[in-house]
This record gives sequence, C-alpha cells and structure tokens, in this order.
Amino acid sequence: MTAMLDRPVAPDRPSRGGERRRAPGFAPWLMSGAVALATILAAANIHGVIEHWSWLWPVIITVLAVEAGPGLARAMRWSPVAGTLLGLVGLAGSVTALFLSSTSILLVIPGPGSLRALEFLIADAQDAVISQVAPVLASPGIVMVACVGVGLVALLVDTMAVPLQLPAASGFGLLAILVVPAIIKPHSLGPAGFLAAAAGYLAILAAAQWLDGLDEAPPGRTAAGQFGRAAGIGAGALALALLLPLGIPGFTTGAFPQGSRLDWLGAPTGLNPILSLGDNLRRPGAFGRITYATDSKTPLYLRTVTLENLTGARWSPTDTRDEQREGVEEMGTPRIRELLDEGTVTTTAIETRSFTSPWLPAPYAPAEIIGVDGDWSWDPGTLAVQASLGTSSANQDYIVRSVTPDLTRENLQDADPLDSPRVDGIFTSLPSDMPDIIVDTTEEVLDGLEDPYDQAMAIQSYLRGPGFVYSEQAPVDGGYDQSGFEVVAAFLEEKAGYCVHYAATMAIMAREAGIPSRIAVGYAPGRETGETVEVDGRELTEHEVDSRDAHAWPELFFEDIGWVAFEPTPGRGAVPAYAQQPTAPVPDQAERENLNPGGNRVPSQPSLPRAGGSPDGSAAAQDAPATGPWTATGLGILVLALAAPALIRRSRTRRSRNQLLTADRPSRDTALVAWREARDAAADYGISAAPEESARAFERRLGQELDGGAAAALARLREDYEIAAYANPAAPRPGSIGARGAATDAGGGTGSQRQWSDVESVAGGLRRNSTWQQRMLGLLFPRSLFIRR
Amino acid sequence: MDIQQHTAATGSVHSGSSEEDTGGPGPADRLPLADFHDACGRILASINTVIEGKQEAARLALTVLLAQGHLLVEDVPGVGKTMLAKTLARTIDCSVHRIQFTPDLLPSDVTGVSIYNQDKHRFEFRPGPVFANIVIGDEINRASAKTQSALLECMEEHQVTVDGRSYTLDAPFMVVATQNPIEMEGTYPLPEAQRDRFMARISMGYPDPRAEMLMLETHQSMSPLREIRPVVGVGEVRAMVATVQDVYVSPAVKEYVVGIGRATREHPHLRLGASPRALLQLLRAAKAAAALDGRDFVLPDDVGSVAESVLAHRLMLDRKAITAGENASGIVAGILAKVPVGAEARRTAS
Repeated sequence: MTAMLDRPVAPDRPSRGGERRRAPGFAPWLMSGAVALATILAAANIHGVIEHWSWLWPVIITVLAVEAGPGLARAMRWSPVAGTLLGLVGLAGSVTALFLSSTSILLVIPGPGSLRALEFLIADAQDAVISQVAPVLASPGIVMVACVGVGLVALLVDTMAVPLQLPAASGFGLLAILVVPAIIKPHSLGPAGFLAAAAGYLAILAAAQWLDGLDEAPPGRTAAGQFGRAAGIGAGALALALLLPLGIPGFTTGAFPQGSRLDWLGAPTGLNPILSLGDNLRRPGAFGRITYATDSKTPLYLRTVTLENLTGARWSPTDTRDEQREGVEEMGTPRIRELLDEGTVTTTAIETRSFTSPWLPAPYAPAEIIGVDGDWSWDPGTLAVQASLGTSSANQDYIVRSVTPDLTRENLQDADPLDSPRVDGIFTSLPSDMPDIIVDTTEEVLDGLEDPYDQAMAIQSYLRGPGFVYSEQAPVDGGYDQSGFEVVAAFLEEKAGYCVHYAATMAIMAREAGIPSRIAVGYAPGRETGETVEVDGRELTEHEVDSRDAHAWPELFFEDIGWVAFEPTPGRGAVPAYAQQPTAPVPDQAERENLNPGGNRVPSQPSLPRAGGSPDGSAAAQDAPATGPWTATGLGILVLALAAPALIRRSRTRRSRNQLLTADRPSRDTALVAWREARDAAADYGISAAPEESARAFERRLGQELDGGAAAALARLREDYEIAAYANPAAPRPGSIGARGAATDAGGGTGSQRQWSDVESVAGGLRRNSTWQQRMLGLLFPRSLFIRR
Repeated sequence: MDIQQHTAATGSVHSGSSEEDTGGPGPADRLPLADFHDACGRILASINTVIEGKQEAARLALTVLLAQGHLLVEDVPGVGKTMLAKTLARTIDCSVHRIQFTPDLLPSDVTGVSIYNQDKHRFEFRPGPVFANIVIGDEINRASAKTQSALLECMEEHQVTVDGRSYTLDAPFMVVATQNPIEMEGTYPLPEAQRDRFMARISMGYPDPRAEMLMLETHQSMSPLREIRPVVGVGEVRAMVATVQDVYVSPAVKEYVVGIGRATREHPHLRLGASPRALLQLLRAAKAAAALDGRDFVLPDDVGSVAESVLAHRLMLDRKAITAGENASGIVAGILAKVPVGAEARRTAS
C-alpha cells in the first residue's frame, strides 16, 4: 500500500542538488558573526594606541550590539535598510548603556542629560588626543570614541558584505580601523595584529562564499569548495598586501612589519611634536619642512609648547586657555618687554609651510609676533602661542622678535636656591610615588651640591656622560617609549633613549632637587640652507628644520633670571654657552653639527660609538644591519611559500606534457593523463569536478564556459578518457583513440600530441573566458593541488 | 474477462522444450553496433510518429525490451500508456497479446489451459495470451493477487508451467503492464515481489502543449496505430538483445552500481532499499542504454540515466519521508548526486 502512495513521477527530475536544504535560522547570523569577529580582531590592534586591554570589552559589547541589528533583520527577512537602522539603534543603545548610564532612561535610552554628558566625554577624548602620547590612557572619553568608531565600521563592513554584496571590498572598513594603529604605533601592526585582522577578513569572505554555496550549490561547487575558493581569494589578497610594499617607494627601510607601515596617508605633517616626536625621529624620510631666517648668532631652538603637568604616567601641557591672552603682536610679561630694550633682541622670519599644529613655533622668549594670520593667544606662564579654533599654523609667514636675557655661567651661578619659588606649583609638583631609582640617582648625581646652577649642570653632565647612549629604537624595543616616571626609571636603568627621555629625566631630577622645571617641545636648530632673506633691510641667514629635527629639551627656572634651557641630549641640538662645562669640547662640536648642512656628523661623545645618533634616523639605520638578513630571509621564505603552489602546479603540467609529447601513440595512459590535466586546468579556474560527477556531466558543465574550439577539444578528451577508463581493454577498437588521433594529426604528430594540443586548447579557452582575478588566482593558488585524487 | 489477440501471428509454442535455449542467440546472431544503432533509430522514429513528445518514455521502453526486462507504465488514464505499449509492439514484427486485467480474471486465463481432446483422447494445452513476444497487461492492479502472481513465473523464468509441464515462451519476451495510481478502490496493489520483477517503471506524464496541439490535429479521425508498420523483424530484435548482452561493464561501473545499491539501503528515509536483483536489472538496463547510445561499454552516465526508472518503484519510503512530501524519484536523484563515481578517480591516478 505504501508503494502505491507514491505520487506519479514528475516528468522533470528534481535537480541533483535537490537534497540540499538551507539550514534555517543559522545562515543569517553567520555573516553577522563573521563581521563582528573581523571587526573585533581588527580593533584589537588598537591596543598600543590605547593603553592596556580594559577598553576592549566595551568595544566588543558595542560591536555585538551593532551586529545584532542586521543579523536580526536578515533572520526576519526585513529590508537591509531596517538592518542598518537597527544597527545604529544598537550602537546608540550600547554607548548609552556603557558610558551614559547615569543619565539614561532604562539603561539604553539616552535621557535629557545625556547630551551634556556626551559633550564632556568628547571633550575628554579631545584632551587626551591633544595632550597625551600614544598609548593614551583608557579614559571614558577615549573608549567611547573607540566604541563609536569601531561600531560604525562594523556596520559599514556589514553593509558592504551583505546588502551591497561586496564582501571582498568590506576589507576597506577593516583597513579604516587598522590605519590608526598602523600610523601611531611605533611598530606598526606587528605580525600578530596583521594576522588577526587578516583572519577576520578571511572569515567574512568564507562566510560570504558559504552563503553563496547555500544559495546556488551547483554540482562540483560544494560549500566546502566555496570555502576553498574564499581561502584562495583571501590568501591572494594577503599575499598582495605583503608583497605590495616591496614595490612602493618609501618602504625601502626594513620589511614587514616596520617597513610596511601604513603611512601613505601622507605622514602626519601636522607634526604634533608631543604625540609623535619619537615617531618622527624614527621615520625614514623627512617631512614638515619649516624654514626660518634669523640674525641670531647662536643656534636657535624653535619652541612650540611646553609640558609641565607631570601626573606620573605622562608629561602633558596645561590647559591654560582661560588664562591666555589675545594678541601676539605685543606679548610677553613686563619683564620680557623690558628686555626688548635692554637685552639681546633676535629677529626671526619663519615660514611654516605644511606644518600644522595647535601651537606656533617661535624662538624663546617671543615678545612680538608680526604677520601671523588668524586668531592666536599666548600663555603668560609658558609663552606658548596657541591657535584658536579655525586657525591653522600651516602656510604662515611671520616675523618673531624674541629676547634673550644675558645668560652667563656667572650670573646663573649667582642664582639662589629657591625656598618658595615664584612660579606656579605645577612646575614643581612631583607625585609621591616616584620610583626609588630616580630619587637615588638624583642624590648620587647631586652629591651635596647646593647651588641650583651646579645641580643643573651636574644633571646635564651626568646625562651627557659616557654611560648614556642616544637611541631612538631602544625605548620602543624596551617598551618605555614615554615620558612618565616608570619610563624615566627604565631609561635610567637602560641608559638609552632619545631627547624626550633625556629632557624628561632632567626635568624630573631638577624638580627632585627643588628646581622648577618643564619640558619644551619644538625643533633643534637645524641646517643652513645657504639662502638669505631680507627683513627690514637686514640680511638674515636662512635655516631649515623638518621632522628629523623634532626635539624636546628641559627648561629650568632660576630665581631673578627666569626660564633657562639646557641640553642634556647627547648629539642633538646645541649646548648653550652658559650650560657648557668650561673644559668640555663637546658643545662647539655639537654647534657645528647643527649649523653645518651636509657636514659629516661626528659623535659628540667620541668614546661612545653609538652616542652620535644623527637626526636623520640614524638609529634605525644602525639597527638595520642586524635585522636586515633576518628580514631578507623571512621575505625570501615568504616569497617562496607564496610561489610554491604555482611552481608545483607548473611542474605537474610539465610532467604531463612530456608524457603526452613523448608517447609514440595514444594509449589508455595518455588519455587518462590528458583528461586529468584538462580537469586540473578547470579546477584552477574554479570549476572543479565533483567526485560524484561523471566525465560527461563535467564536460557539459565546463563546456558552457568554453567557446566552440575549446569545447570540441574537451569533448575529444572526454571521449578518449571514457574509452580508457570504461571500455573493454581487450577488445579491438577500430574507432578508438589511436585511429582518430592519427586521422586528426595528419601533419605528422602522434595522437597523444593531439591530446596535448586539446589540453592546451581547453586551458586557453578557460583563460579567455575568465576574469583577470580568476587568472591571477589560478596562477598563484592553483586549486587543482588541493583536490583529492 | 477481456482477452484480445491483436495480431494474426501467433507465438510459436514450444511445449515441453524447457531445456531449449531460446533466449540466447549465438555469437553469429549479434548485430554490429552500427546496424544496432540504425535499427533503434527506426523503432524510435516509428513510435514518435504515434506518440508525440514522449521520446524519453519511448527510449526507455525500448531499453527495457532490449535488456529483456518488463515494463510497468504508471500514470493517470488517457496519457497514452496502452498506446505506447501497442506502438512498441507494432513496430516490431512480432506477436502481441493484450490482457485487460479484471478482478474475475483467472490465472488460467493468462497462462492457458489444458483441454481434453475427445478425438485424440488426451489433454491438449491451449496456450493463453501470455504466449506472445510482447504482452500488454492493462490495469494490472485490477486482477486478484492470484492472477497477478501467475504472471510472476512467466516474467521471471520466461516459461509457463501447467499440469506439471513447462512451456517455454518465445524470445524476445516482454510484459508491459499499466496501472492507474489514482483510482485505488477495488484494486489489488502489486505485491513487493512483483514490483521487483518489473525492470523499470515509467510515468508518461502529460504531453507539452505543442505536442498536444499536434496530436489534436493529426489523430482526429483515425487511430495512428493503423499506420504503423513493423520496422524490424523478431530475429533482428533477438540479435539486438544479444548485442546488448555483449556490452562490456568495467569494474569501475560495477562498483558504482554497488555504491548506489548500498546508498539506497543506508538511506535514512527508506524502509526498503534496492535488492540485488534490482542492481542486476539496473546494470542490464544500463547496458541497453549504452548500446542505444552506440557504445559497447557502459558509462556511469548510462547507469544514472536509467537509475530512477529502475530503482524508484522498488524503494519503500518511511512514514516520515512520506509525510514530508518526499518521493522515491527524488531520493534516487539525491543518491545519484552523492554517490561518487569514485573508481574513475582512482583509475585516473594510475
């Protein structure tokens, strides 16, 4: 009875894939999961831009909340627009819950006070960006900005991958996340970070291909095959990402990861010296050129801002906007204005060109700044000149008249120790948790010295002494590339660093000794250009500085004298005459170095071979020979690994070719070899024969991709193969391979040569009808190698 | 009871000659492949003049004939089941009997009966309608199980046994049975054993609109059957059968057939998979299909082309699959899509 219940057989057979069923409920979430995973993995690279990992959880929660929207929309078969809107709702909800919960309604709905709270968070983030060097502290503002940014990227990636059907292009979204750490982190992304992001990207591609497989699933292109295809595309993209830097100018120093830093956004010519001083020094090329013409007889430092706010983890500028004064044409304290008449007045004409920064570079101490465009205000405490909103320091051409008190060793020596300094407490404050090594070293260096000048000179001499080495790379490698207490402690231990470390150490040790101090940030004197500029009828010598001259130096406060600059960094800048040891030859030498363009730079400390780090990134150059061979070896292995599949495939083809061309006559073996070769060629172009697919079925499918000649060649190969594989080997075969081969190849070639020419014809047909991406993929990642035989 | 004899030619009755090999012509009787192909072309062309748009069904019917199997045609009334059977029979110059199965049909009405001859004082065997080259059994499920099973011996062993004597049936011998799956009342569904004896089951299906238009235009006044003339002789068919038997089957194809059989037995939605006899018949049908295609060796594609017709009517779905709306044909197609033509790949590597 059961048998009779069979329905009449439908005239049309169900498709071969009729058994395949779409797994309900799971597929819509697969892509959301892949996008979330990829975004989170890419975002993990922000570690190092933001300190520690505490920020990651909020980011993960945000990404999951955002991705739940599109996933839900797909599961419910709503429109993609609804998915995007739900994603935005998820973003708003999660940000509210995480950061604005105190002002929210029911945790996730922003309340009346949320906007105000948001403003505070944004201001907090803004401050962190301006005042901190990466890695910045994970303050709520910064973490919120990270969450919003990463959440939006997740939504963008999802939108590209699913509604726009551009899963491969969704990588650009991930790239947007990666650009930030790639530019800011000294070591770029690093292999682990790069691989994590790449794995996420591959997950998206794999998910997209798998879903495609579910939708179409033609025979031979199973879901598993789709994974292989996705892996192929992804691996190709990654190989390209690794190989591309080799062909691009500017990546000549080092290799992945250092050399392949993504600084194509046009390096931050914004040159915020605080944020990126170390990076600028390490960068292979020079940028952010500023020229200045001056009548100063001594090397001139251009100062942008001072860091006096020492909170332990960081030195940062004080936000003195409320105390700042408008108008820079006449600026400076009364004491400074007096010096316009009494002291040495220096006139400097500065062209900032592409330099952008919130602060205007000027020699210390500026009394008049003439010809600068926009709104500028100055801080009476530090004489830093800061731009108002909307004003840029770029393309400014202005003249600064600055004064220098008559500073000599003698009058500095006369300065008394300060009992109650007439400066703000911020210049003297030292947090209580100072590491012992700083206290001990200071005590050791000062060794009972009472005079502030003697103390300052002792510290400077100690830092310029033979124990210390100038290195731009060592702090990065040692993990102390900052300026706080822990960094200074590490620096004192390692005795290797660059100007930031020397300046910070001297400033902290001075405070420990009771001398008010701050760190000035700007440019070391630079080089003469050989040109002169006429200002008010006077010829001024022109100099240039760029990113390689970025510098930091300490300024110490002396009673009745004011702020006095020192130069503890060996090999950089020029030690002023008043800060030179009477017997030391070093300063003159340093002076020559900086004012002698193109001159051979000699180490300022001859006894220390590495002490003379030249400003043009010599530390990196010094490190290069050590890493070079490894990099080259690694690169070689990488190239070999990438080329291996193509080479193996070629050798297989060559073997088959020889087998066919050297055979006397076509045989069962040549037919099998020829068919296998044709099948492999098709597999390379993404059309692989499924194990359950017969030769005929495969020929039908492949024939649709080929033009007439190639299709006919394929049919001949298939026919030969069928006879070889299935016909009675003992039976005489008048119409067999041999007879036809001889007939076709009247020109003298054997039938097996005809078989090879058929193989070539099929491969040629496939090539003609494929896109360049498929050809590239077929060449680099021949899938026939991964087919089980 | 309605037994019609369509042709004047009577099948020769070989009484008591069961040892005689009627079904196996010698090697000399084989038809060369080219002639074979030509003869098939003539038969199919002839059938297609009567039944438009059913080339596949006609081809399958011929395949079954050449493979020496029996055909079950199952479909709704009026789509040309009997017409197909009759046309096939008419294109061949052989004996054809038609039996209209009814509930009161007796086994002896099918096989024949021994009658006492008073003149000769002995029983004489009067052969029934089954003694023909092609026997058309119309509405086979309307006869009682007893009568149906009378067909069994004839179909399987190509002989009839009455009163202890066996009478061999002429070769070629083929039963074309039809049944209507819609009207189930008062029917005796074919027992599993009997279904298994049919090599293939086909479903005619409705013709497409173009073929239907053509049929309305040409078949209005007279039966197209009347125009059919035999295109091959019975001897030629015997030679064709012999040619099919000689078709070579490589181990790879045998493995493929075994793989399909195992897949039906292990299929989660099937209560009953393909029997060894089913696989044997599948292979025989594949050989015929290969010969029809002009080849003297079988390809996996030949197996695939007949698998659904040969296997579907033997498979029994479990209750869950039936409730889910699956059918045996779909399951066979699914199995074909999954069973690897594995031997092919292994041999390629050699």
